[in-house]
Amino acid sequence: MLAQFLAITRAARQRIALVDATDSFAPEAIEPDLLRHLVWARCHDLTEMLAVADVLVRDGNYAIVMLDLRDVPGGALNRTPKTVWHRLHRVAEQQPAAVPIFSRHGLVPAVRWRLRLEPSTIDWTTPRQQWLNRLQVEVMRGHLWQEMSA
Amino acid sequence: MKYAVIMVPDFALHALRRSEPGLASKPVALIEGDGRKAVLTEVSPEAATVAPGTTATLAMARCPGIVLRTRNPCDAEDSSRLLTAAAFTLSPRIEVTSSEVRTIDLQGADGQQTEAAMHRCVLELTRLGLPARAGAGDTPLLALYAARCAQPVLVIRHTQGFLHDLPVGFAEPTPAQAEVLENWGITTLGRLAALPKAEIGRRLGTDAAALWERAAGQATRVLRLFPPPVSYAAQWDYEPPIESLEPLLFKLRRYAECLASELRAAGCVAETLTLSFKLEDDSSHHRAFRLAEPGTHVDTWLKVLLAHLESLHLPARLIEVSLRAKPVRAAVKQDGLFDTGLRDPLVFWENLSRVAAIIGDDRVGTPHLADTWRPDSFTLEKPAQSIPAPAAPPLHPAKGGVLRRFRPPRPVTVERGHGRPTQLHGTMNGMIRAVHGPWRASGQWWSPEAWGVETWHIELDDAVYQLARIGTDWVIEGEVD
Repeated sequence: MLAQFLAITRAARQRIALVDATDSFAPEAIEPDLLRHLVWARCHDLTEMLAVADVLVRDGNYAIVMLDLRDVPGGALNRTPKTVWHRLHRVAEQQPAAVPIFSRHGLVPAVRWRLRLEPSTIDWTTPRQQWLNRLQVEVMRGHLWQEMSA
Repeated sequence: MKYAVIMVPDFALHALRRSEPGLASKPVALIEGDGRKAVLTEVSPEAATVAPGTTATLAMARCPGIVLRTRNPCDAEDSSRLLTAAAFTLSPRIEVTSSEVRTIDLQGADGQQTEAAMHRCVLELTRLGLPARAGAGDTPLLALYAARCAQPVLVIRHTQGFLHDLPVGFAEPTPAQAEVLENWGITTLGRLAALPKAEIGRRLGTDAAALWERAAGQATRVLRLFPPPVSYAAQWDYEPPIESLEPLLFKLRRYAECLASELRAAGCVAETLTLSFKLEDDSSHHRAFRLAEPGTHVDTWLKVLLAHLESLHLPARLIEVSLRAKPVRAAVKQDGLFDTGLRDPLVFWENLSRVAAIIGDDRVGTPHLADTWRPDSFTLEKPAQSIPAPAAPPLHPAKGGVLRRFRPPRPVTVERGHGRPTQLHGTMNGMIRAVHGPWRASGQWWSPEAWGVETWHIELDDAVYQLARIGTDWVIEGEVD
């Protein structure tokens, strides 16, 4: 999904930011040309990530600001006051940037859409693009979830 | 015009008001002397009922609420540097004539451009709380006369016409000379200059000949040139020590403005800011901030510094602070016609610097893969100003999932069967359901930094992981998404 965001924004020559809470992004796994418009912030922990996300979401120069929380311990996410996410949501609403948040559990409140991605078994012989198209997406929450499900 | 003068009347008073913004609209006066002998030397316009020379006691009686302060050279230090930096924007040859006057040698400079620069210079100083005046003329003395009469900039184009109606006091006669001239009915420089110089000298002495030259605007002198700054740093103390952010930010802004002016005067921009603290317990704290876009914009500097200071907890109170700017020449480039630029470049670079202040200079940027097969080899570079057109699709598109690295990798013990991993123990446990690989890579065999790695993709119950053997050690390098 992250690679797909990179490809879409690269084709449109838009800027994209990845706020990486646990410094887990591997640039060598992505084609070099898909990295030229990326600003990658390698945070040490969730606190830093929230501070950086606040700055970048307000920026206005990014088409997408991705927040990767996948390896953040559930305890740290639970301890984060919900007001922090609500505030980030309010900021994001006023900016042109889309703010996808990747997490292992649906712990982030105040989101407009919550999607569950169910990967199929990794097929090592199929191009990544085709493999991504087989990704199963379930709408957990959303204003138009019926239409999406349909 | 060959010389210019920039001056700030009542400089000490304005410097005091810059250091104490609370005095902005109050009647303020500077005093000299102790006790009953203390007299006012400079008075703000708000204290209209008193004048310089009034005793402090009388001033307090005549102007209730007047704030009296003695001169403090420390208050004026950064204001003095600002004035000098402003003078350097006109020419590299300047003289620090007095605390409130800078004389500038303009010989060789373009007249129109210099006059425009003088206007900019005065506006900038006024914005920073130093209402300045500037004048220009053929001699340092004429430039000084012009600055005294300027509202706020005056360039003398016809010297005789300019001097004709100026009061004799501009030429600074001695009290005895002033009395004689008054008895003669000489009240303006023009009338004094109309008298024969030799006769004036014969009747009033050789000092009067010098007075005549000053009146005629002919007195000239060699400037004592002030060297431009070789480093861009400011250091200040706190007595008593401080423990909150507000007083620090106040002085930080003032000295940052000072450094920015000095950098602009030298045609440079700041590439790196270094902030150092000396604490009460003799420890110290240093932090360098590499600005994403080198510049002299003080608000940007402060936002970057503030991003760090807001999360900083020091073990003791602050007694000394220093701020140093590393100068570089400003880069000038033109984007291509079809390049996709930034919507707001200033905000973009400012925010990038703020992010760097939060997570570290080396942890934000655009990843650039190194020219090697060694795993996890890349550098973070400054993002491009404009995004180039996409390259052609690769001949061999990427297959499989995308690796997400564990930094640092997790060591494991691996059981093997028929040369392939079958089970994991250690930081991760489990039976391996499927395995792909190995892929082997090595490099730099000719140097002590030789490396070699054998990589496998293994499928456990919950996910697919990348397993690597480096020498005899096994590690889980990451998860394949």
